[in-house]
Amino acid sequence: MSLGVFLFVGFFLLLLIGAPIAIAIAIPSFLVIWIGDLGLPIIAPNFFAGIAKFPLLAIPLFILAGFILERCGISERVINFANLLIGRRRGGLAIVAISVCVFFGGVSGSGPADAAAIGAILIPAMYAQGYARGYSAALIAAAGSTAIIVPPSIALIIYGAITNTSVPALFAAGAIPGLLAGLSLLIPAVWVARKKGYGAKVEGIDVKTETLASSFREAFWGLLAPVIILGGLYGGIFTPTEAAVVAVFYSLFLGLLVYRTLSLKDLYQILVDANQTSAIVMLIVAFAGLFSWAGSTIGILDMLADSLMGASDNSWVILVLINLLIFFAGMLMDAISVFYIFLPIFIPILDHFGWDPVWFGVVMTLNLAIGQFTPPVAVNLYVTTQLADIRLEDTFRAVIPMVLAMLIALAVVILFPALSLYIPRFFGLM
Amino acid sequence: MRKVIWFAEHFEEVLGAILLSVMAGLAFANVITRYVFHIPLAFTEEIEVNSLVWLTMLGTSAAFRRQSHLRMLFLYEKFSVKLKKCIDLVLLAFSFALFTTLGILGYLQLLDERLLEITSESLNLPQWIYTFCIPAGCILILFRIAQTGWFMMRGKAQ
Repeated sequence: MSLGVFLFVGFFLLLLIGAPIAIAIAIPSFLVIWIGDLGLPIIAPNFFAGIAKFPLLAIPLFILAGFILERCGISERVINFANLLIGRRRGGLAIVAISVCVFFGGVSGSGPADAAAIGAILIPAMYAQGYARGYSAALIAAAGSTAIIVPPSIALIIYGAITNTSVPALFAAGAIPGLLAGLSLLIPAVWVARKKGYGAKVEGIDVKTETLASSFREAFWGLLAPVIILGGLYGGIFTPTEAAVVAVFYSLFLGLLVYRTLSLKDLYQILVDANQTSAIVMLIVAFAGLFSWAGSTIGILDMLADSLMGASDNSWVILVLINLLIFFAGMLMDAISVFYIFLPIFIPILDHFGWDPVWFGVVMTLNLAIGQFTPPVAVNLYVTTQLADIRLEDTFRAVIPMVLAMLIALAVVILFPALSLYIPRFFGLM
Repeated sequence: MRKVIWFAEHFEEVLGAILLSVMAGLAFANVITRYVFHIPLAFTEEIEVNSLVWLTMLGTSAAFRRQSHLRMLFLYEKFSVKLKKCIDLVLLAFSFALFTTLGILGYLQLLDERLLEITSESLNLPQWIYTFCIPAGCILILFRIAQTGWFMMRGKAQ
């Protein structure tokens, strides 16, 4: 019992003082395994086996594909096209920002990186058109968070690996809720932009191609990327790892042959960065696996599951409690750690109430996405406020309506499981 | 000489970049042989999956050098410069202890696997060849942690 408290308290304390997440999660786990005499020799094979899993192979490949796509000039072309299509009106750039973020969620798997890539281009452009910096930073942080729910998604790959759920089914299930989350942002975003007259003066973004048709031709190959990746997955042609490697080579083909924007030197830097980003993710995966092993061995996780279930007999009450828990956890932690720490607690509850694991994965991930831009912590806001050169506090007023809007989208996804389950059932993936 | 220094500072990055491109190449070759020639290269899976651990060790080491690990800075940013430095040094010391333990345990695991002659599932290679990456990776990571700590104490860190 006291070991269990130590495990959780130690983790949160380290997390709060700014320890790297992997370290914060590993130190209490190692100590509990040592002090509790659970058998130190388990650590090395557990660490190894936690990483060396076939489904996880898709992670570095999706990260690599995302980095290549971001840097081969597709973002500029897609933004340019979206801008000509819908951007040149009051609040138009806000719509552009949301659609481009959701689109990029459809080719890469993680949030803050997308927010950084798109924010770097759009925040200055929005500022030039009269959008407040706090508003732009909030909007891109919120829209960028949809990347973890819009397939492909690293978070959903991890969820699938922990719960033994089909990753293609999860990827199919995330599509409608991901779009819904993006759509829900349109309402507060456009409403505020119209009220404040953002984007009334149209200039700023430099329009390289004059006509809509030519900008479409330029962006076409980029726009095709999610179609190839997701089409191959949903059609059951590719496994997630295969889809990821096809995405890597497709984006290389664009960068080296079609747009010719990538040099070999760029490519080397992309490989280095992709290796580091995947290592940071995989290290969390390995240590978080150890944390949940230690937690279940000393029985703290079962105990938490029991006390959560003991709180009420009503499945709706439990569902609301679970979602509150995930929401607060998601504000403090990345999605991967939350999955490893909390899923062992939730899985018995899922079994007990007979909830669908695919639907639950989508609900949990969407909820975690909201946590990524909810103040005061908010990883995504952290990235975009740095780009906009403002303080985190400057975004609070603008971000609250967006948090509320996406919470409503979450409620809809919870209440109507068909929104998540229709596509995977249609393609026969579950 | 300058090239040697550059390589010493970045060699895990170079290795990691090569490894990642080889993994992507193997995975792509797998797709091609499976769909075009209908010959699945199942054995490549074992190599790719085990390379993931190498990739993680190399990338972790580079991330320590660049101090780019994912962390929550909400409270940290409100601390004074002195306190920040103290926290960073303490965390580095913790990390050092952590990877020392992991490295030693990995080495003991490797010795066990050699003694029991455990082989891998599909290629029947000695398992310790794969496990080797834990102690080796930890030594590399420990070196980078020590280096970062040294720079930090002399006030050179970014």
